[in-house]
Amino acid sequence: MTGLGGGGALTFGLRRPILGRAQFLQGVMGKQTTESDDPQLLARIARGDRLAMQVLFARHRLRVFRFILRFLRDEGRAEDALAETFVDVWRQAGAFEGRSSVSTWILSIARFKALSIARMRKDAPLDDDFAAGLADEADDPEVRMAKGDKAAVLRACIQKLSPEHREIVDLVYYQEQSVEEAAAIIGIPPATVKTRLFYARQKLSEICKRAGVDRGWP
Amino acid sequence: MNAQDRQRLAELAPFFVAGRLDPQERAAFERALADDPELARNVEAARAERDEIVALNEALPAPSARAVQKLFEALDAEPARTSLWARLDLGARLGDFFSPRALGWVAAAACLLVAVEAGFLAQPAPGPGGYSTASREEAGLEGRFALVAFAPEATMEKIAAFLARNGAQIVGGPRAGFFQVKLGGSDMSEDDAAKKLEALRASGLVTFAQKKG
Repeated sequence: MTGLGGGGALTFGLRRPILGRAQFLQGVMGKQTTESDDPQLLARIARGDRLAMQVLFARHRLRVFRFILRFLRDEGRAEDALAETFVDVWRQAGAFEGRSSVSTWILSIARFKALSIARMRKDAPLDDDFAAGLADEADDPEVRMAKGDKAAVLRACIQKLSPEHREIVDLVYYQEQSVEEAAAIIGIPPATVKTRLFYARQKLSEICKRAGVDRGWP
Repeated sequence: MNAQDRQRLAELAPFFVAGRLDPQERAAFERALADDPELARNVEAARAERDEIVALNEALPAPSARAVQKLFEALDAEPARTSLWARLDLGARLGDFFSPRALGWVAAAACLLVAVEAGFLAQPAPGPGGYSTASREEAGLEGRFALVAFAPEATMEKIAAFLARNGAQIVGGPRAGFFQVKLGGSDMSEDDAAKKLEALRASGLVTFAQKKG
């Protein structure tokens, strides 16, 4: 069953906020179940069905937005890129051939949009609030270590990864993309996906070690 | 197991943890995991990474209502989808079967038919009011409409089935969370429109349904 609900960011009804994808997935169904009819939704979108578009947007908006936000680091611009991504989904729905999952296809479009916007606004200053938020999370794994919070140290160390390494760990762990899907999104060979992720994890262990945490691997 | 196999498995650990190995790879990985303490440490580290990556992403904000408004405003500005008939390119297909002269006669007959229909349809409406033409009606500009907000638990399938059963259709929206639903054509009486609206309210699919216009 596909929920249609309102409130918060996406308002269909008047009472309840719609669940984020992750909350939704952790709820009553698994990823495969909720997304199994994505190709059917796209087929309907190709015929101009706005309700299908609304469902697809509700299903993917949260994760796509967060993926974009990592590139743009500005909520307003990330929302613009999110809307533009789904306008492209609307325009290109008829061309979707099912060679990848719909979420992979949407993330590919979103990545292209986000990078295009980032290149156009290369010299634009960061949104202050968002930058402050990043700094707060990223700063001083050593301080967090002193507080004895190992999970917080790991989080702070993850924030110190390069954008390239951060992208690959986000794609695999948060976006739940396979080797081939991540390769299609980034535009690199599958073998490079595996080695890039491996080196990102090694780098993370080095950063953690410098902060006083031995992860026990490698 | 040689060094190359060990490296291959080490690189697959995050995909194992994320549940993104195919069944064959997964079975092979699990077999190796049972006998390899180094691989077990790798998997444990990957699980910790996954948990914190998810936590970091979940701490990021959600898009505001502006994103969905911007999206549907952009879609409003998009050209209408080409109809099935246009996609079939009927004109070209007819051209394959008939000579230009025969097609000319067919076109003339069609023009005559349109002219006759227009003569009938452009008669004054039976009640007070102006003229009503079929093309205007088909464009969905006239008829009985309602402003509707769907319930959070209403599924797409149920909504589609209900609308189909009742001969209604979504013709616009969402605007601020509301959809414009066409209940029937301009020949539908106010009573029938009110009954259909009541059925919509009683369906449990909506949190708000009000006659529009």
